[in-house]
Amino acid sequence: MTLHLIARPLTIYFGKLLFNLILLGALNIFTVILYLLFVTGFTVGNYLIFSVTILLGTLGLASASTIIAAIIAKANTKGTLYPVLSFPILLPLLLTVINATKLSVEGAVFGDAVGEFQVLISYLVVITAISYLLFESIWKE
Amino acid sequence: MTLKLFLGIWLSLVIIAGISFPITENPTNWYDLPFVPGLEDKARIIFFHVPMAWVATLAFGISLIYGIKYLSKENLDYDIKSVSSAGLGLIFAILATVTGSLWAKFSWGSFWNWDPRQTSIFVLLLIYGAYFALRSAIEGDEKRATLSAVYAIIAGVTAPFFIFIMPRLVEGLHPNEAFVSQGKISMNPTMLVIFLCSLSGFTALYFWMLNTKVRLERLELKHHLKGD
Amino acid sequence: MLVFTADHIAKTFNRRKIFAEISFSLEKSDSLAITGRNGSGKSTLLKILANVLSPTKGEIEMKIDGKIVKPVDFFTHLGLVSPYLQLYDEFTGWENLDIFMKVRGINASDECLGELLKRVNLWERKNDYVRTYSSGMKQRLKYAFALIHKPPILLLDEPTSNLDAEGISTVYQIMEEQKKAGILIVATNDSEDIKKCEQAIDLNLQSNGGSKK
Repeated sequence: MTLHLIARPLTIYFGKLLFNLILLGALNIFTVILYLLFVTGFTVGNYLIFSVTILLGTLGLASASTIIAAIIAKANTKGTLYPVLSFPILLPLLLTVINATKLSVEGAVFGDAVGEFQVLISYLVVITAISYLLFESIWKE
Repeated sequence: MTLKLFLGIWLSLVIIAGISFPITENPTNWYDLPFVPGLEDKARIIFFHVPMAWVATLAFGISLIYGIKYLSKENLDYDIKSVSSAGLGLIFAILATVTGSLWAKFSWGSFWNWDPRQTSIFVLLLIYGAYFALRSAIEGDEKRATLSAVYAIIAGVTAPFFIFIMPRLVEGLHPNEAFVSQGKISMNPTMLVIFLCSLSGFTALYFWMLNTKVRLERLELKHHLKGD
Repeated sequence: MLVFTADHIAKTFNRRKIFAEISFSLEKSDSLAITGRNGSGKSTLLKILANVLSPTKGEIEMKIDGKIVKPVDFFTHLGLVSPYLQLYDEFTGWENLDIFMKVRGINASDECLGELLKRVNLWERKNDYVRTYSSGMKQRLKYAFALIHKPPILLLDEPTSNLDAEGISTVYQIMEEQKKAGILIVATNDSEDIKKCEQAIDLNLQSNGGSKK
């Protein structure tokens, strides 16, 4: 309730989103470094596809998990709710990111992954827009 | 009462016709069904499977609309309608999955193949499973109604992505082509009549069930309020 | 010019009516006491007025200098002290106020903050963690929190709970000043508190409009 009294709902939403973005971004970069260093036989064929995938994947993952976490924060029994709620929402994102990563490892040309990127970008836009519209109704007590 | 009786007779006739009308290579009698290459006797599932899938889609759509209405008007009656419709949608989606995988067993050799359609309906079942899990985790009618409506909307906007993604990942085996070619339905007249009767019958069944369920929920609520 | 109006506010929770038909209109230097038994919805009404909770029916309107303030911006023009308020236990009193000020985007000087802390008698303990504070000290910090942006409208829920005689007199002083500078709304059952207000609404009577005493 304290936060209700000092800021607009959307300020809170974008604050949470920013935090998740930084957290996930750092985590992803860290994981990639570990993979490149320690997993033998892991080579990236096309670094452009790879980095765009990491970027779009992080953005999509952060925005989807922010709004789902906001819903769960208001539930009484939080427990195992997060994986249950987020799995079906994240599945299209995860499948596309896996596919795009596969393409980048195989060393495909950029044009092959454009379809994946279109899906990722529209997913990101749709989730962020809907969160923007709905966050206020979640946020009110 | 008469409506209920009429609906019962209607659906009985559809079921009898769908199961018993013979399939022949050259349909001559009015009751003969055509032979569809690759489907044969298994084509009968279309009278049951497709209406189930259609009603499930309709029910989830209506649930979503009432969810949005709830968010804008905050009238709990919309939530009753929304959740009742979602519950019915889940039942029909399970029926569509069961009839579909029965058919898959005999056509594709196993009950479950992770065909795009099967994956999509699996995700749909997951979403509405999660929807009901979320509802059970929230106390307070208003909060439950708001949060579940928000979740249904978020799930509703992400689900269509499967339509774009799945074909890129796996080859589909689902036989739309047998009856739908170039956007037009090509079906033998007898078959089409039974199919449409089944479709309308199950749709009417859905609306009757929804109406009954909403009335039941309202009565329970009244009882609950009196009991306090 | 400051007008704060509630028009036929009703709230149902779990389909149970908490209160209905609450209407009042307050202007600058008005004060209103909201009374009612436990569970009559005093705190709920205050939360609705602060736009933390939305009413089931009815509208709240805030007008400053003839301009209507959107409900999402109510927070910039009102302060709320409530037992439901949670301050950050992990920070000191000073840090708490500093954070709230920065989030609100006000550039008050350190002296201003110090002034406020001295006012609620927390200056000596400003560098102690809030978790070490007593309930009365937390209550006093909440006043500093509510007054930090000098709001024209002040909402107080159980204003004198947990406070000693000295604290209560500070609160009464704050209430007097608020009545001069803006609008004061107090939810309480304490007869001393009620006396400080010119108008009163009893939620158990579900009365229409603030009856003049």
